[in-house]
Amino acid sequence: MDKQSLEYRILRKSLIAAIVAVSGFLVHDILVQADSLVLIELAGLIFFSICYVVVRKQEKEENIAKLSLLVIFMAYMLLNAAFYVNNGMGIGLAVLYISGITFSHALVHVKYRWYVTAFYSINFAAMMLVEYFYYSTEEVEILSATLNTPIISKAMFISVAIVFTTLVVMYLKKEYSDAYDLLSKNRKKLEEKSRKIEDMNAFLDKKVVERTESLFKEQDKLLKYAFFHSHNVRSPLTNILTIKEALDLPDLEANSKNKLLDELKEQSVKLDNEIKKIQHVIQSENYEERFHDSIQSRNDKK
Amino acid sequence: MKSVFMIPFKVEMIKSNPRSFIIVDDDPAFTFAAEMLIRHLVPESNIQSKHSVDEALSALEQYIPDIIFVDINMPNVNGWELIEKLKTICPHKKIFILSSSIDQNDIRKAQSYKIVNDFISKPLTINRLQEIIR
Repeated sequence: MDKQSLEYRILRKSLIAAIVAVSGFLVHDILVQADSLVLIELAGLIFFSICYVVVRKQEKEENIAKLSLLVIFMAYMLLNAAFYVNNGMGIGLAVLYISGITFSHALVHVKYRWYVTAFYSINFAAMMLVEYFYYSTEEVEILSATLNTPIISKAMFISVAIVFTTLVVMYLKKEYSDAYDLLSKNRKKLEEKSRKIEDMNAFLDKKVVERTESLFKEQDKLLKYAFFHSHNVRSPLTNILTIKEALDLPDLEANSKNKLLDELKEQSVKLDNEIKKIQHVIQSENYEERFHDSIQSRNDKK
Repeated sequence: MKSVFMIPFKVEMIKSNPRSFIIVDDDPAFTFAAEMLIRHLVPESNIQSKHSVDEALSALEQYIPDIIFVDINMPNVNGWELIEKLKTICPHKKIFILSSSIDQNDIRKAQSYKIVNDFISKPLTINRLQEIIR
C-alpha cells in the first residue's frame, strides 16, 4: 500500500466521521432537553453507528474504517469529559472517559481488536449508571441550562471539537507514518534476505551443474579406461587363439611348432600382465579413495 | 559325365584364387600364426607381413597383392589412415580389416568404407580364411 494514500485515507475518513459526529452533537444537545440521560447516551451510540456505516461504505478496508471512527470517538469522549468537569458534574465521570480514551488508544497502537469495542461498551454502561444513580435532577437541570446558552457558545463548542479531532488525526497520522516506515524498513530487509536466498540458490544450482559435469567426466574416464583395458586384454587373447588355430594344422614342421609354442607362452604372459595391471588399477583407484580425494579438493578450494 | 563338367570350373577356381597377401599388423606373434594359416590354404602364396603403416606403404609402392589385411590399433599411424590411402592406391583390391576390437563403432566405421570387404574380429580361424579366399 502506498504511504501517501494510507495517511490520506485515514485523515479523510476521520474528517467525514467528524462531520457526522458534529451533526450528532447538535441532535444530542436537543435531546438533552428531554431530561433523559439514558436516551441521550443511546442517541450517542446510534450516531456513532451512523458514523461507522458512513465511513465503512466509503472505505473497504475495515481496519481503516474502524480507526477513523475511533479518532472521532476519542475526540467526543475527551470533549465530554471536559464538558462535565467544566459544569461541575464530578471528576469521576471525567476519569472514566479519559481512561477509556487512553486504553483504547493503547490498543489501537497494537491492532484493532474486538475487545476495544467490548471495553467501550462497558465504559458506556458505567457512564450511564453513574449518570443515572449519582446525579440529581438538579444537576441535570444545570447541564440543561448550560446547553441552553446562546448559539455562539454552541458554535465555539463545535469548532473546538473539530480542532481537537484534527489534532488527534494528525497525531495518529504521524504514528501511522512511523509504523509504515518500520514496515517498509522490514520489507527492505526481507527483500534483501530473499535476494540473498536467490543468490544462494543460483550458487547451489551452479554447484550441482558443476558436480554433475565432473561426475560425467569421471564416468567417461572410467569408460575409456575400461575400453582401453578390454582391448589390451583381448589382443593377447586373440593372438593365443590364432596361434592355437595354427598349431592345429596338420603336417606342422617341428621348427614352426616350436616357434608357435614360444609365441603362445609369450602371449600368455602378456595376458597375465594385463590382468594384473587391471587388478592394480581397481585396487588403487577404488571408490572410497576417489571420494576422499574429491572431498579433499573441495576443502582445499574453500 | 559329371567330372567332365566339373573340370573347367575347377580350373577357373584355381585361376581366380588369390596368390599374394599382405598382413599389416604391429603384432609379430599374430602375423606369424596368420602366415602359417594362409600358407596352409594357399601353399604357393606370396605373403608379406608388415608391422607398421609406413612399412606397408613402401611395400605397396613396389607391388600390390590380391588381398590386404589391415589391423586398426597400431602405434603412430593407425589402420584407418592406411585405408584412406588405399582408396587411391588400390581401389579394386580385396581389403579386410583384421582387429581384436569388438567395438560396434569400429565395425560400423568399417562398413562405411566401400573398399573394405569385411571386418574380421580376431582370432583368425581356418574356416574364416577359407570363406575369404574362396
